[in-house]
Amino acid sequence: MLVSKNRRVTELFKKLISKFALILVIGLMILNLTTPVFAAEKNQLPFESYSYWNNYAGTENKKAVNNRPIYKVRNSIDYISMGLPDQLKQITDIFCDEEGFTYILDGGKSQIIILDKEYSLVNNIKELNNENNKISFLGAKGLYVDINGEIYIADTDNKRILVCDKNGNYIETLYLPKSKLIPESFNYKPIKLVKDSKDYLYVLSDGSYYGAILYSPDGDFLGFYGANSVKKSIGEALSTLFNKLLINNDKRAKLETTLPFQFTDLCADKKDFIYTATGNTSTKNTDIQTGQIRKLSPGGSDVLDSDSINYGDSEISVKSQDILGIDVDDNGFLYALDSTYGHIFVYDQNNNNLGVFGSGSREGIQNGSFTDAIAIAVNGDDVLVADGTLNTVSIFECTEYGTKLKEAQTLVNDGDYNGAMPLWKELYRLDKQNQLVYIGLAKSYYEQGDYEKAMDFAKRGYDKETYALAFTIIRNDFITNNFTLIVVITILLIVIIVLLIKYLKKKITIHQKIKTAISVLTHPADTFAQMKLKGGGSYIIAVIIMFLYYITNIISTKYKGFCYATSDPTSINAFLILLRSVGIVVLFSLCYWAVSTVMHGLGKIGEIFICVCYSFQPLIIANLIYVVLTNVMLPSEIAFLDLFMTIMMGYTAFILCIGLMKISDYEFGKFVGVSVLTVAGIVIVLFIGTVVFLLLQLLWNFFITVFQETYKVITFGG
Amino acid sequence: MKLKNHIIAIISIFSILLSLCGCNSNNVPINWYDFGAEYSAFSSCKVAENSRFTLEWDKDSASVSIFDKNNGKIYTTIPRNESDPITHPQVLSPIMLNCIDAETLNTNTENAITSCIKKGAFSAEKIDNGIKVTYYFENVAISVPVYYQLREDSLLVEIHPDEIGEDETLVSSISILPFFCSIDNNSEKEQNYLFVPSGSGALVYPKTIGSGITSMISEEMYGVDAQSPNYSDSVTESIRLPVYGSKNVDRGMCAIIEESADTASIVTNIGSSTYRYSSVYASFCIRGSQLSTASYMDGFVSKKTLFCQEKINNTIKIGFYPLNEDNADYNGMASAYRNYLISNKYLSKREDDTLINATIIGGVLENKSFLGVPYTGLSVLTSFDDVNLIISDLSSLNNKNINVNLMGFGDSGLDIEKPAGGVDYSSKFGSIKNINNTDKVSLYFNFDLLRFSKSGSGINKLFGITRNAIGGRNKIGYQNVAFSTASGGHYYYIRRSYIDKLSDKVFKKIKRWDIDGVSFDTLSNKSYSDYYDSKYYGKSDTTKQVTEIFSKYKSENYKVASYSANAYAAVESNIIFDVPTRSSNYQVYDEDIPFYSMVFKGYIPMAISAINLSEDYDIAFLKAVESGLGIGYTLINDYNMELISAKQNMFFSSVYQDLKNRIANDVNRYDSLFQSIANKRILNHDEIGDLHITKFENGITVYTNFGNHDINIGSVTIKAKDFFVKEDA
Repeated sequence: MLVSKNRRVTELFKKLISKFALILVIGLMILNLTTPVFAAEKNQLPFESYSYWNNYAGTENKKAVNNRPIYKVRNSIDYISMGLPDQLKQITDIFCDEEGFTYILDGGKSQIIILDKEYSLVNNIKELNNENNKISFLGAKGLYVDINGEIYIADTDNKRILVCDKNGNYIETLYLPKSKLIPESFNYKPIKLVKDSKDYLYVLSDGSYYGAILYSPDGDFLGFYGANSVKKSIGEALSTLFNKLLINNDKRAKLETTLPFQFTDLCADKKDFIYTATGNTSTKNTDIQTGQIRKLSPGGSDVLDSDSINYGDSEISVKSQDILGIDVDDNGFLYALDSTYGHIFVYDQNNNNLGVFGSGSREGIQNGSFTDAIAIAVNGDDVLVADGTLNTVSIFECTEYGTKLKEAQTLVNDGDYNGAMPLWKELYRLDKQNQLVYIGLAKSYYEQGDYEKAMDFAKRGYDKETYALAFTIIRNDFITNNFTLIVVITILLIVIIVLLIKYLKKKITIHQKIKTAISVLTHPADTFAQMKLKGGGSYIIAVIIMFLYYITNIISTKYKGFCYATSDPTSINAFLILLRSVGIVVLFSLCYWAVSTVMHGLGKIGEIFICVCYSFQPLIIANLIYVVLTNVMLPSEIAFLDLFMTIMMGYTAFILCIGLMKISDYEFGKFVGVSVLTVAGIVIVLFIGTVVFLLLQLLWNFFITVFQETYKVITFGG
Repeated sequence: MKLKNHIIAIISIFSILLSLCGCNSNNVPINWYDFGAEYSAFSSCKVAENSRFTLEWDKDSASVSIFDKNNGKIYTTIPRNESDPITHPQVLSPIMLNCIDAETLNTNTENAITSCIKKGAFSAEKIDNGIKVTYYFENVAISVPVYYQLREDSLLVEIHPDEIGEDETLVSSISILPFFCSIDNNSEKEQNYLFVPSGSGALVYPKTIGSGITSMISEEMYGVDAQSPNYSDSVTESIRLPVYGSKNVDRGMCAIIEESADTASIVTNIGSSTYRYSSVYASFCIRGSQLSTASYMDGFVSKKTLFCQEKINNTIKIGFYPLNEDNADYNGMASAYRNYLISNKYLSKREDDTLINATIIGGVLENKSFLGVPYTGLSVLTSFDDVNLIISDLSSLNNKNINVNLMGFGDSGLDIEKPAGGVDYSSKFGSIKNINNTDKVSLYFNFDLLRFSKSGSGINKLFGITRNAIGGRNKIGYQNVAFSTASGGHYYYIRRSYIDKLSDKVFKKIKRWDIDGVSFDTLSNKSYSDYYDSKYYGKSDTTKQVTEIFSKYKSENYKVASYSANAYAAVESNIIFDVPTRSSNYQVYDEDIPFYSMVFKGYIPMAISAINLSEDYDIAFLKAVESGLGIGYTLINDYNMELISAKQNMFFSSVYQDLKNRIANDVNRYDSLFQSIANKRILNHDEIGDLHITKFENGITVYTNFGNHDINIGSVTIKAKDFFVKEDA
């Protein structure tokens, strides 16, 4: 009885496992991670420290690189270490004043905890004293303390702003002002607030996409300030236009309106610039977001020009990032808190990323990691992050490296490159993986007149600007010092080339087919007509030309001047270039032949291929000249290069058109029609090719899965 | 005729396949639950006695306690509070089970109080020096016999998993005496604490924690199962030593997992207002598991933990060592654990301590291109000639011995490709003979025996990859710099049974080289399970396997180096690099202590992890001074810009020329103290705020000030981030 029962269990157990295993696709090859991967790289912090490098493509394709930490966690303080008798309920905001006092708002319990510089308890304001009344601010989400020590509480649930002193004595209440500018439906729920040095008060209201509500020093409403704008792609804009023009009112009424994203936090610097954070600037989780941070002038315009800049991580894991907190220190360094991943980003005034620290991904239980990071505040050299679920405040302190990095960057931002030089040298010793170090060294060497070193470091730090400046001086110096020599060598070279050509013409007999290929450059119409009639084209020469075109493409990509590079020359992929060059030629030849055959063209596939290949000769020359020129010209002279390349491409197209017309015996009108159809044909072929490729990939995966399952059953017994 | 041959061939293939399918499937021995068992337990009484203790059995709570005859102290296995009796069943349970419902695969926790003791469903019988208690968890039909035996200095608790009776519900893990090492949440700080062996070691003081904070932390012994690690973006320190404990004023308890530590997890229950007590205990894996992810065509992703059907039948043994008076603290626990290791001949005196311990990195794989054709090639960062120069430089600094470990000198450098890096060095580094290995240099060569991504060294990917609990092969991705997601490449763990073969190949190869020893970084600090063979389920047998490999090298007079070594590797090592100097830094931990160093200092040379890569050079230096450890450096000779894309996070500050002066400075600052405390045990360690005080066996006391302010002790001022040495008269 028992045996049979247990056998049933055993089988049931096995069946369940195998049933589940059947639907496993990823389960068998689960991708897991471990830290650290390598010995001798042990991290003493509970998080990885890294910074973002902007590469050849600028900020669009930034890359995370491990660094020496700029901040380390000192400790996390909870109600016990704050010296409070009772647990906190929900920290909603944190603020540090200029004297180093920290104010923690526990909105869940209507209390403000004031800590001194050493983070010891100074006062605990539970409710505000208003003569004999007690005013509660339960549900408050934001606070600010001005230089007079007056505490402003964004009493969110009670739709008001309370003002009190450090002892909790009530001073005044600010309600939503009455103004025609404020819609009647406006739901006033203040969540964050800040004052500038002129006593203007900026208040964020939950759910408001109008921007911050601006109060004058007298408490009058001045208007909405600095709202985000709606970003639309061209497709979305066209769709909106289409809807406006064509659909009826009923349908229009049912359409969703795209509204700007609301601010999540704001702060002010010493120069009265207001910084705003927008948690999420895209509706799609997987989108890389941009423009999450803005630095607004008193007029409300963004001086960071941040619309295209991503202030968070360049790759996002699964969940969308959410910049919930922002603060700025006395030197203008900006600290942005991504609540989703618990990462804190440090930027300078020029959008340069100094480093990233913190962790948690909403599951952090270590010091320095977060479950629900909701607010950030800077206290001198410390950065404080409040966790709304754990009800703790993590204190990060700047490392020796971080202090030096900020010091050096401050000097650079102030233009004191020479002063920053010793610091950059020391930082280079401490961390060779921070882009700012390379840029800083490049600028400092440039300032000191060591242009070669400046170019070297600028190149390593992808700093095209400093590189170009140093290169200009080196190039000008070279030309000035060697002008006579350059002229003499140039004349000599010209003379030698002319003589060499004459000599070669006399002494060497060039094969007729090579002559034909070269004459395409000068007499395309006659040459192609002759080729059609007498068949002077050569497959070998065509293939050689194609190969040369491919090689020069690689050379121009790999060896073009640093200032003109848009991608890392070491990471170029010859196969992609092959597809881009030879692939296109072959595809075009095939498609053109297919279309022209239907359209009564006389060209054979071989003739068309030869024609296309011969036509690419100008681009071979252009590529070589381009490589040379990009290495001696400056980015400011790009117009000349662009013009040159445009001419060469135009000439290639001209030869190709003439050739194809002659080969196919088309008139111009018919040729244009066939060409359009050829382009359509290319698109169709690419589409079908992609579909076939994807299907093959699926088929391959299917076979792999079947193989794995079978293998597992055979070797592991199900 | 041909057709006949084909048919025979096909039938033969099918027969082989069918016979193979039969392997491992129905061969699962199960000890069935006895539904008709009679519960017979004798009354409370003394069940064993020796010169120091008596072992008392309490029938009401179905638990035992130890009475110390010398001082009258009682150590109860469950907490007792006469004034305010404890009622929570989990606190009062001698054992707890995690169970799996075989039908639904759902898991639940069963405590002994609710499931058996309150129902009287347990039996007790006397055994030599103790008592065997069988707990019958009636509602889930599981019986667990537990052996309590009194020893001269401790209580041994033993469970034989093969004796566990089961029916439709199966055991996934067992927690033993979960509140034997516990403290009252309302008791006084400093006088009471838990010791958790996380990393270097951590103390947890009594507290009741906030509602949002996680009160239970479970960490696998010797790190997470490396072939199937959990997804996390936080950097943690693994548990390296199978020891934990508690201090209650003048009573301490030190628990040492003596057998089956490989399958254990250390669970810390902290500040729960429901339990009223915080505790630390060991939980043992009985059935391996694997978190499985299933992706459906509609994009839905489902996750489920699947369990291996077969039990891990290794005997579980925990020794509980009562500590008294002056010994009732973490110093006493370190001493108890060290004595345990020495008395069992696990630990003995090795090499002399060495101040300079350098890990020199040979090379890494980098993306390169030839005429635009991309390929991955080895980039040499340090050649053997460079190594020679670095060694001669370092040796001249204090004219004493130095340890040098060559890492990443295989075909793929530091990156993971062929097993053990192809079991050779790459000719791109030159010849290893170029290194002038003098008597003052201990030269090690590192091999990664556990991981690979390409077939080679006699191990192929088809059969050489370890299996998880459901028969799959886990692909391990390199961590993205910013997130815990995979980025660029992956690797696998080698079948456990192949490690020995690989080790033999290494052994043969190094005989031709002039080196003093080998270093096994991963073998010493990673453990993993392999469900190819029941011997390796749930990380079992790691201790034995690693010990045997290390012993083999030592028997041939080779030295063996390890990195962040787990206990089993540490005791066999001639030098431990990367000694843990911090805990996992959980918010509920209150203080880090150098417990790891306290155990091994004076016996095994140790070095802190690369000081040049630490976030705070001064603090890292002081950590070395505090415990008298050697200083570790990770060095390369040449830096190139491609290294910013390297998978390793160690190149930002490792160029030797940049560090040369700093190393010399470290030696100047620390050498005389280091030599005076070399090979000396730590007698006592104490922390008073930022001031850490370490007393060594030769009477030297080192005061280290980790704070940012000067500290005065009598007439002596210890500057911020500095140290002071006092010698007993």
